[in-house]
Amino acid sequence: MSKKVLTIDDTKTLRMALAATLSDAGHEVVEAVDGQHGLEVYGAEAPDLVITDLNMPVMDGIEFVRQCRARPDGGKVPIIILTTETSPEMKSEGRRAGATGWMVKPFNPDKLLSIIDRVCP
Amino acid sequence: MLEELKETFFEECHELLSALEESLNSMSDGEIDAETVGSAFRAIHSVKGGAGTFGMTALVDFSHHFENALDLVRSEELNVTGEVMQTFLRANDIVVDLVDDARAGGDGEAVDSAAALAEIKRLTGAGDDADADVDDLDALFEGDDALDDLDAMFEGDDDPAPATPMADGDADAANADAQSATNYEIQITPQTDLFRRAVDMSVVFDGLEELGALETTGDASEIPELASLDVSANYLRWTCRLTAPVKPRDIVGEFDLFLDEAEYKIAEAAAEPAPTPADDAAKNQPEADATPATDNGRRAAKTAGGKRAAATTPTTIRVNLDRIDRMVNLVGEIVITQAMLSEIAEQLPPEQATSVLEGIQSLSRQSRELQESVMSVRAQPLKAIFSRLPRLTRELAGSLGKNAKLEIQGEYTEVDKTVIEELADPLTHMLRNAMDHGLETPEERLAAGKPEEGQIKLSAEHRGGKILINLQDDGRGVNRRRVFDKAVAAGIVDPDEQLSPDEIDNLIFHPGLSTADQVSDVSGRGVGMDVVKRNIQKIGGRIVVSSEPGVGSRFTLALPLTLAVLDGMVVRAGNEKFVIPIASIVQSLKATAEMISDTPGGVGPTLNYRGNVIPVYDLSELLDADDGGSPASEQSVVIVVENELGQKLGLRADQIDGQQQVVIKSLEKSYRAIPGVSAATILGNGLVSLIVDIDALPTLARFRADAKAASSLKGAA
Repeated sequence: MSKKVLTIDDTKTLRMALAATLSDAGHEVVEAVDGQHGLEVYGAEAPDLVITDLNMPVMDGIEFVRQCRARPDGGKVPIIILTTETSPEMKSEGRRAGATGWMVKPFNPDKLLSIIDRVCP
Repeated sequence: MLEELKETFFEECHELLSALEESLNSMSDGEIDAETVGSAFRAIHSVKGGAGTFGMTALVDFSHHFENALDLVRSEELNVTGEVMQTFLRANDIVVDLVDDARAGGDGEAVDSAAALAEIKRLTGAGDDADADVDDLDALFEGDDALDDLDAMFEGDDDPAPATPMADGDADAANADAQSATNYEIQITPQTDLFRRAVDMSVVFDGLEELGALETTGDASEIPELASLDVSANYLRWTCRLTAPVKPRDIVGEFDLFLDEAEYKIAEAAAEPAPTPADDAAKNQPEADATPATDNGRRAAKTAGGKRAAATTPTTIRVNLDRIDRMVNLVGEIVITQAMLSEIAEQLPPEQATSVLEGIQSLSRQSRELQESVMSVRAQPLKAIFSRLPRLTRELAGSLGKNAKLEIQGEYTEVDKTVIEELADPLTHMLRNAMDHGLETPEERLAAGKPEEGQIKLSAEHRGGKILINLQDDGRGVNRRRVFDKAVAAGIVDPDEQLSPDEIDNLIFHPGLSTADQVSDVSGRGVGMDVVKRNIQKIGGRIVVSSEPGVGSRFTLALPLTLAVLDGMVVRAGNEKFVIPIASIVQSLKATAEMISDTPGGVGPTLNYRGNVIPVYDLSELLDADDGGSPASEQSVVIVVENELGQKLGLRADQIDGQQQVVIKSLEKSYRAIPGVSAATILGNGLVSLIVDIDALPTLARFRADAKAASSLKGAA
């Protein structure tokens, strides 16, 4: 089923790649360029799923997750962090902030789509 | 599509690399704060991420280590000494080269990155820990070939990115064919924040089920007494028995997405699954919990949202410059057409003319706005080129044995992109010149009672429809004696010619005049400021120097805001019409005979303008216009203009026709350069008119006067 996915990444290339993957699979994509922008778009768009980068200017991914989870409408939406970071400590920090899942860049489109299908049934 | 994406990546790389360089420059200026280091880190991190997507191994490898080193700085484990900074700057160069190489289709072999990589590795201590490092990189390139995936997903719709988890399952199964099914017992003990993370355990179980036969047991024994129960917390634990032909690694793969390593334990077990029915209840709980809240939240957000469209719109798009240039040209054509329309309208009977002219007036307003917005699309901050200069200053200082600091102001001044492109080389050369010829050595400076470190100031500002760029140094100034002697030796000026200090200074722009005692590899031999001047003139700009011996020199660049359109005043002189740039005009006067004094044998006609005596030039005479056989009439007008040096001069014409926007058509392209004329334009009536080059007039006038004097001498003889 079609989902509305918010992608947050300061890298345009990655946003484009994500958008291409997601929209080919019939998902609606909204984009943001950093965590702060992500929160604004989140509030306006009420996405079904968020995919966010970690290292971004203005507001990083962890802080985005934290603030998003603190929102009245931010509790139950799956948030997947998509990053090049692989250390267990970082993953744990992301999860303590409230991230649902952790994927490592570069992403495998099939895998990403299957995960989306699973976390947003 | 992949190629397009790649192109976007390279364009983005360009921006990222500028950001990186800028941050590194700030760092080397001592700004080692979290923000600066973080921004450098993010830039190289993004480069690495993109490079990984396209399988640019060499670039990934190098940026990976560079990123690690910056990360150490970020965590304050690495001190930024001068040496470290040098390593970073060199690494920055290598990254630029690697990106260029990748863009040209290379694999990075052509770039000699080994030495820089070794230096970086020394900083991070990666030499000691090579294994861990390789692991990290492997993780980046994840088993599957990301490039193939991208290709597959962009080419053709026959395989619309199968979203079925079967794809994974198949691969895993194929992978594991060789091995027999293994029994695993998996203990899952999630933290209490599981639901707050919006993790739905059934998703994890689904994933496991795809691997093989799964039995799940829920354990609710940790749920506390009602009084101390936190309804949003997770107290459940699970035990899974999985029988599947997979390796532990594959199971970890399923969990790793959603759980911390501490939250699950995988062990091989004996082949006796213990059946229990309790898992359904456990599985459903988080889901039941989730649904209503999410829906409410969504509804609330939607009603409160409102600015949907604003949030979805991407903040920037990239457009091919050709398309914009086409727009600029079309806008130019509109301007001409509109001028033509107003001329036609003027000839209509008054009762019709009024309404038509009103319409044309709003058309003119709109086309002006259109033109401004089209031009602003092409405008870019000068920062794009200014940001490279601090580094150049440092490098030059190093190779010349000088101490210098570059201070930049007005880097956000926006200029047409075409102007920016043409400006990079001249500015670099000017900076080289200032460093090489302008600034003294530290010893000389100290001896002259100046601070050891030389100051170079670079500033940019908009002024009167132009961009003024100043490059000022506090060095020794132009050595006028030497310049003059050299000019005499080169036969450029006569030994007994009387030149003002400014005129001598500006001789340095003369082709073939280099004043450095020793030819250095920085400023080269003989070619230099004349090339700068030619390049600047090519884009309709002008460069002058003023200097004070022992105090310093200042180069002033005046550039047009745009190369396309100009606000002009159309005047008639003789039978010709000329356009004077409005930006240069100070005032227009009705000239009476008393106002203009013309002492025979003097410097020519002058005008007393607000207490200052300024020269007055007759446009038709100066520009060789057909004067219609009649001498300058009594009823002529004088337009007082000011050039970029602030010198005022008067231009005598017969009549002012009006003010209009004109489209600049280069004469050099279609005909040849004419002294005193900067370009041509097409007026509303279709006639070609020349745009007066205010700044060139005094020189032209002197040249004319000299020629006249020479010919009258000849006549007398």
